[in-house]
Amino acid sequence: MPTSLDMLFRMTPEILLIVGAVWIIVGNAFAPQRAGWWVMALATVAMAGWALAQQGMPVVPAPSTGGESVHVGSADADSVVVAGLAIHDELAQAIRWFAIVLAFLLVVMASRAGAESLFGEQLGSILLILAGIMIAASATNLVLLFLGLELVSIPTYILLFLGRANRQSLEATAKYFLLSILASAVMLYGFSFLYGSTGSMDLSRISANVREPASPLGAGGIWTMGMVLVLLGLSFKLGSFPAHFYAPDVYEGTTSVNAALLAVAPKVAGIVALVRLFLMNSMEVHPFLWHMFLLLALATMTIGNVCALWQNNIRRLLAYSSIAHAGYMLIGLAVALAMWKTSTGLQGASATLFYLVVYAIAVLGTFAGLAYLASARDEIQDVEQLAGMGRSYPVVAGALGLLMFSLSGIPPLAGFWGKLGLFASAVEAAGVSAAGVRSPWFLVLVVGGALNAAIAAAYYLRIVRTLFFRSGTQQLAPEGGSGARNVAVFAALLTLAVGILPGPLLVATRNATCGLNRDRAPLMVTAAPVSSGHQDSIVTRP
Amino acid sequence: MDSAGLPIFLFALIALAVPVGMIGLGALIGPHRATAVKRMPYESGMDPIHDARRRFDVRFHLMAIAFLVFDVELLFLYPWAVASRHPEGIDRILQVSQGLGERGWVLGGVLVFLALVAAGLVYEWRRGVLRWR
Amino acid sequence: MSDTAILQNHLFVGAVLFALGLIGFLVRRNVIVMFLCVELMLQGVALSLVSWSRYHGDWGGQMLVIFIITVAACEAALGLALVWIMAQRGGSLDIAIWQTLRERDQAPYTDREVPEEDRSVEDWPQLTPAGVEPVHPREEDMYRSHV
Repeated sequence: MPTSLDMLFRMTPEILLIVGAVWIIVGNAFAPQRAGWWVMALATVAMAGWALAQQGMPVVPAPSTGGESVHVGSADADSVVVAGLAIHDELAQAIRWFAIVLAFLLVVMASRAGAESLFGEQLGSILLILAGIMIAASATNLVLLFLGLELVSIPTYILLFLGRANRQSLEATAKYFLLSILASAVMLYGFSFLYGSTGSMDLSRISANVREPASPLGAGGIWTMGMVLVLLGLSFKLGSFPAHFYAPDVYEGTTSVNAALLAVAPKVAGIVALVRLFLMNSMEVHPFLWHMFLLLALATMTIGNVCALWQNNIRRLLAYSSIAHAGYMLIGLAVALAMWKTSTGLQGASATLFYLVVYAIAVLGTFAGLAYLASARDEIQDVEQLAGMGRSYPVVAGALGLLMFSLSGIPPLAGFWGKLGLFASAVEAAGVSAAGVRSPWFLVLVVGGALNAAIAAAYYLRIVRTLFFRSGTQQLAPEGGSGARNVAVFAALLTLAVGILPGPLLVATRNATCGLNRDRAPLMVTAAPVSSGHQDSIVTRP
Repeated sequence: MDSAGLPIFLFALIALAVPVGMIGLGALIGPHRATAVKRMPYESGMDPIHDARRRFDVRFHLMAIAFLVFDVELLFLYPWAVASRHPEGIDRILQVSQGLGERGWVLGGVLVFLALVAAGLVYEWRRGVLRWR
Repeated sequence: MSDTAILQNHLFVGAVLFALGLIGFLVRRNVIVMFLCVELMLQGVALSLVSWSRYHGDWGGQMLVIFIITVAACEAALGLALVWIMAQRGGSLDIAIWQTLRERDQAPYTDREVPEEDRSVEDWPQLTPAGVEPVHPREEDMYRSHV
């Protein structure tokens, strides 16, 4: 299997997205026109999707065939660095498909965003961000993971720049920019400790080293410190507890399209990075990690929901609700970390992914609805501004109402299945005390989660009430473009469909995580003898 | 003269001829209209004699940003140059990947990189960053 | 000096750089200085990565450092543009002037309250007699009008 060409083939979707983005950005400087570049961006996304479809699903075989050798490219000492940077397992492919869907929705939604002369930059940045998510999803190497995460953040700064030209927008940009580079510096310091404790940038080697430390540095304090710092840095991307405070200010200041992107893209990238870093760096050695996740989940949901309850500004409210949803997702990861050996852990991880998908679609639709209702000058700020929308704009208001129900987890909708999956995995984890895990903590987690869901229902239902049962005091002039409206309606329909038929998505997320659990043996890369030159590398799973 | 010294000699010759030729041609066929500004010791368009704390033109700011990015892009050419001829570097990868042992791939890779950087330059030019307004 | 001792020294310097940057980011209010402090943190990270790389005899760390420098340059380009616009719009590099976005019932942060003027006492200005130094108003020392 030729390494460099094979890797190029596997990375075609990302390459297509990046080339398309560069073409659009440069081309727009020559011929600024909205419709043409918009179609071009859609075509780029479609081409990337087609290229992804060419690859088929996972390269790594199913778990039932464990024990034999799998070819993953060349593996003498240096070329592993090149060939082994990316892995396209079930998780990576699933997230890449999801990123294509997100890219499509975001491009449609942004059909009228920003100034005409800078529209190309807007579209190009969106495409680059989605390429970054795809790269982060398939990285097995700290370098590539870092690059993927930065490819998510740097275009985000540009998009925030390109928002409205007012003081609030600039303030939001400055806050996000300064805190984001601080968070990446902290995360990188964590990377340096992970690297230092194991002497390799490769995630599989790091985890192998932690399980059977080759050097005294292997699983000691240096590794622990690295993990804590990485979690701190990633919690900014997730918008979870220790670094959640930027979200309300930034969402309030920027445009709805940007807020949708901020609520979705860094979260997807952050969750995938957490899964890669923490679940692959197996847990049996260090119980402190799931303790940490559990506490963070509790703190994050509580802070998010309680603060959202007092908000009158809908953008701040949605920001706090997105913090709370990050907390729910951490529940699943805490379960997964605590009981990785058992099927419960797998259930936790897949429930997290399911929740991520459902949350992302719903929040995209919500912000798309707000973007549609906004006038050309101002975004919608107060909840009161939505009053009477149920009568004036029944389609968008209906979509918004449906999405609010889904976000709060009312039964016939997708959000319900997401919360059910997470809480079920936590309940199951509380029941399995025989595994040596202190179960009461998970009961606390479930009770806390249920209480939070009740609190959350209050403020989501308040929005629904304002939409339908209050008479409007002022007329809004929706100027967000039909693209935003279509995305809102599409997201609502998707939420309804998944709510009625959750089966396919449940199976898909289940399949996406099963690749992680492959009998928990690390990918051991055995070096082929150098003299045999042309031999492929062999990766064995004992 | 042995064959090993010849390339070095030729190189030195060209290295000498190019600047001498350029300066000489400029002196011969270039127009000469000396003004007070042109006769100053050159310092990037700034008056060279002034207080060190003087503010300088904000238009340099854009140049600084452009320079910063392109300067760092150069950083990637060093590892490429080292690895492209190193027996343990790109050569090894080409060997391992059967049927692709063409050196052209090595050059092609870096050309793609340079094309991306050049796209950035085209963008800047088109957006008027390089114009001194 | 042994390998471990060299590693320890380098890591120590890296940690000091990182900590200085972090402290600077938290306590300084000039936007440019805050940005430079993050760069200082990144340099600390780069130093420790390179020293680990040397200790382990592995190229990965240096590879990451090259990418860190590149990404830092991109961020610097964006950051300088941002600082420029902020200085243009706000008229100051002080980060504390940017607090429009905050919770509704939260009071804005102020450096130090300017003492309330006592309106009850009619305090007419008096001309100083010629040749006497006027009294320096103390309140002006308390209020910080620039950073």
